[in-house]
Amino acid sequence: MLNEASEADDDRSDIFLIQGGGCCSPGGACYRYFALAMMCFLGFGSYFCYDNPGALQDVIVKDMSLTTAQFSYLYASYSWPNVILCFVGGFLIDRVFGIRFGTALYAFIVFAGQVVVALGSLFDSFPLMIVGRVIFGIGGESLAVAQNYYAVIWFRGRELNMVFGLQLSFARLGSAVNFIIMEPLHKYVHHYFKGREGLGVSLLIASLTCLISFIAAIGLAWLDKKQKPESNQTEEHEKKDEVKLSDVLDFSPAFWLISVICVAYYIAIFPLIALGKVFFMRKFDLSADDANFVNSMLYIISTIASPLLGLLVDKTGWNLFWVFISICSTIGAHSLLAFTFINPYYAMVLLGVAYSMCAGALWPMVSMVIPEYQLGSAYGVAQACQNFGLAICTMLAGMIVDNGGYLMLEIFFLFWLFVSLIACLCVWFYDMNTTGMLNMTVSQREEYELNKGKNNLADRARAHSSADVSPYEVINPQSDFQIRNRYLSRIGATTLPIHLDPSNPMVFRTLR
Amino acid sequence: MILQIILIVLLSKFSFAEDRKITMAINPGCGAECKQDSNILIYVRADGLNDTLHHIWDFTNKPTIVLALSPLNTTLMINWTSFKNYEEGALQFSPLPFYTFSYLVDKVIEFNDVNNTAIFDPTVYNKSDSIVHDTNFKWVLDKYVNTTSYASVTMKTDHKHYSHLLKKGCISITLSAFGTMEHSSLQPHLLHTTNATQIDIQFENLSTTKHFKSRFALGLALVSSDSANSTMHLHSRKSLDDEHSPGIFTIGEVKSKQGYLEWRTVAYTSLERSMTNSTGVSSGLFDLPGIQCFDDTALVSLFGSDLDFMLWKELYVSLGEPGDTLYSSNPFISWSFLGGIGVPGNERFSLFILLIVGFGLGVPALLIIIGGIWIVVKRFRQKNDIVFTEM
Repeated sequence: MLNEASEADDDRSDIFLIQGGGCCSPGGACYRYFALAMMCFLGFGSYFCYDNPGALQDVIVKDMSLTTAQFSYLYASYSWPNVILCFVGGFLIDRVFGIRFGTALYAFIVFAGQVVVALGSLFDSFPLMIVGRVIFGIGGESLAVAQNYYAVIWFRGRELNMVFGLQLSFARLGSAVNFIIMEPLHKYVHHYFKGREGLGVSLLIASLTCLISFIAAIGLAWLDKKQKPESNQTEEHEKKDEVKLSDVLDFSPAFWLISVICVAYYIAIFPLIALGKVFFMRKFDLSADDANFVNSMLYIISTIASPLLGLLVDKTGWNLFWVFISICSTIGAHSLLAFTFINPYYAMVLLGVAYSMCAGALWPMVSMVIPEYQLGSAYGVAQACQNFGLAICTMLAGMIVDNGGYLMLEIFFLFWLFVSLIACLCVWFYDMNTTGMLNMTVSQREEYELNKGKNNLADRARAHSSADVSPYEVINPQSDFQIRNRYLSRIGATTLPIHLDPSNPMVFRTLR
Repeated sequence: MILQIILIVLLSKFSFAEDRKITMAINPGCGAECKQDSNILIYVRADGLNDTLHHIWDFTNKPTIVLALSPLNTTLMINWTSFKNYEEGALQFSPLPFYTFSYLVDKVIEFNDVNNTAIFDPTVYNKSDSIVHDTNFKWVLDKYVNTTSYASVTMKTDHKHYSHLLKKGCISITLSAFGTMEHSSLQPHLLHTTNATQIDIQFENLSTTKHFKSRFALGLALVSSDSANSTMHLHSRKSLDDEHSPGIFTIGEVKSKQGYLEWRTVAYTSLERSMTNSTGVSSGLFDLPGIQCFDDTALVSLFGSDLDFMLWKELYVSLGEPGDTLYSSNPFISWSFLGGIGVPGNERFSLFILLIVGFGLGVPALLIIIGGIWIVVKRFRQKNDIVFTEM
């Protein structure tokens, strides 16, 4: 299997070599890095604007006279469409729109969504803002898929992991920059436009980042066309491996427990970011600017810590142990926020580290308990659950703040963390009782693979999957695929459908 | 463990809160004097097991609240004829109470907040940018509730008042006395003991001065039976628990040895009290220039010349915070505070919170223990199996 993989890689490199003329001609290195810059900007706008409401929470709540519950709808309405879209986003690009048009379309939808949000504020219509956020959500997650798709097409067999890492860091940078500049921007705008108008104009200015993303999408389409006049879509058509809901029946208990961790853990992260600003201002007496800076710490820390902690997990294995540690640290961070008056800066730094570690150790576990050919479905299902959980719980969180205060909100977050801790322990026991795969060191995993015969492996795989097939690929833990998945975990690890995965030799085989 | 927590919480609930039986009388013992003139003095008696708390709510002139903690058999005697002229001795406790703590809503101040600080400082503002109204309005009874565990009255300024301030609107004050220690049903759900009166004060549609960036402040005069050379302190503290007052972590307090005022630093800008319609309050404690402000109040009738030897201070509370809507644009603001004898009630985490934390720490701990035992047992058995096969 490994041989096949390297062969496939070689093939792809050849294609590049043949196409590549000079450095700055189509196919050349500088051409490719120019495309990379554009790819980074492709997601910048949507990540920047995703957290606009969080960065301006006090302003939005005041100018639109909202309750916290109503405010939280702004975030929930982003998650709702993605409960379904995470299944079809990749499919639509692949089959219906094509990469170039699809990406531009999604970028445009994101831009349009943000403009509608701004208009909602200008016209004093909160429902319009919600509609805007739904549109924004439809485009946002799918755009992330498209971004990965481009990266795969341009960098297959090359610096793909580095590219994915760069894209993700850039995305987080977008979120962090949003938190840092939106407040001063709004203050500046406020000199000229008061109240809702000031808010609307600020949001409209923020939409420029989405316009930049849209321009990047068009530029990328142009570059792509120039590089490969013949669309590679015929090639993609052969790679059929859709998300199949019937796969759900085959998933092992370990997968479902991991999904519980995914859902419960992220509930304690993203609604906090959404509602954090006012919390920090009210409880810790921070200024609006400081509160935003503290809020941005999660993103800033994870920009730096994600690759490093990812490496740590790669080198040590012990995924479950790391997940356990990061859940415990997250509980610690939330306890600091709930039960002390210590500057929330420290809690958020701890949260940022724990979050990065959890993302790095958690998502690859899915690929260890699910046969490779079902991974697309598995990630789709996990993400759908997560978006569903986020949508419901962000709304709940808002209501809790209105009626029970921020201490109750923290207790709510802690409750979910306790749920994920319990789920984590259950996975651990389950894993001990079956293969022990999830918590092995890297060398143990290698040894495990070498020592056992294929039949044995098949049995082990069967233990994790109730499906009749027992693909031994399941116990190939350190494939590029998993490393990439770690990088792709933002809100719910926007994963590429399996059939687009270049590092996976199966891509070029039809399964059935 | 969870059971233990429940027990502790239940025990603590009952251990320090002593219930009182409430009886309320409006103009008690007032005959002919109250016929023409609807004098309003409300007397609430709260009898506990060991002592009695008396609330005297005097609205005959400036709203005045007297709290007195006394032995069980103490009675209040009112000589209505002399009380009409606020003569010394018109109100008398016998036997004398242990402690008294009194406060009166002395002034309502409209100030021109040019710099948008939302803080009224009587030493800074002068007549050109602030208008001080004495609160000797005509107060009328709006409604009252009287049960054995709770009494409250709502007083309003009369519509037929000549003051410019009350041309279109009114000030209303609701006073409540409680027989049990719990959170008030009204936001911000202040935690009251049985030794306190809660005051909700509301400025509705008050007329503001043209060209003013109008905000309102309250001047409260406080009198404690502490000796005049002791002191009162104003401080604010933070509470971790905002369960009952969502989003409001700061508690303002004025404390003397024998009594206190307490409030959450929040005022509301609409009748519906919610976080969306809330704004801040700020406060400052000053020396009272003299005791003239107590003239024509129940305090003079009750304490007379003793007032000179008591501890008095003046508290200014400004309603609003920088950047919020000015009163002129949204002519409504309300604020609640507690005044009581002894020490303020101690906020505790609710049972629900303790249960969640107990669950969150208990279940994983239990899982680890059970899992650990199970693994040990399993290893032990495997070892035995090996031994068995080797044999």
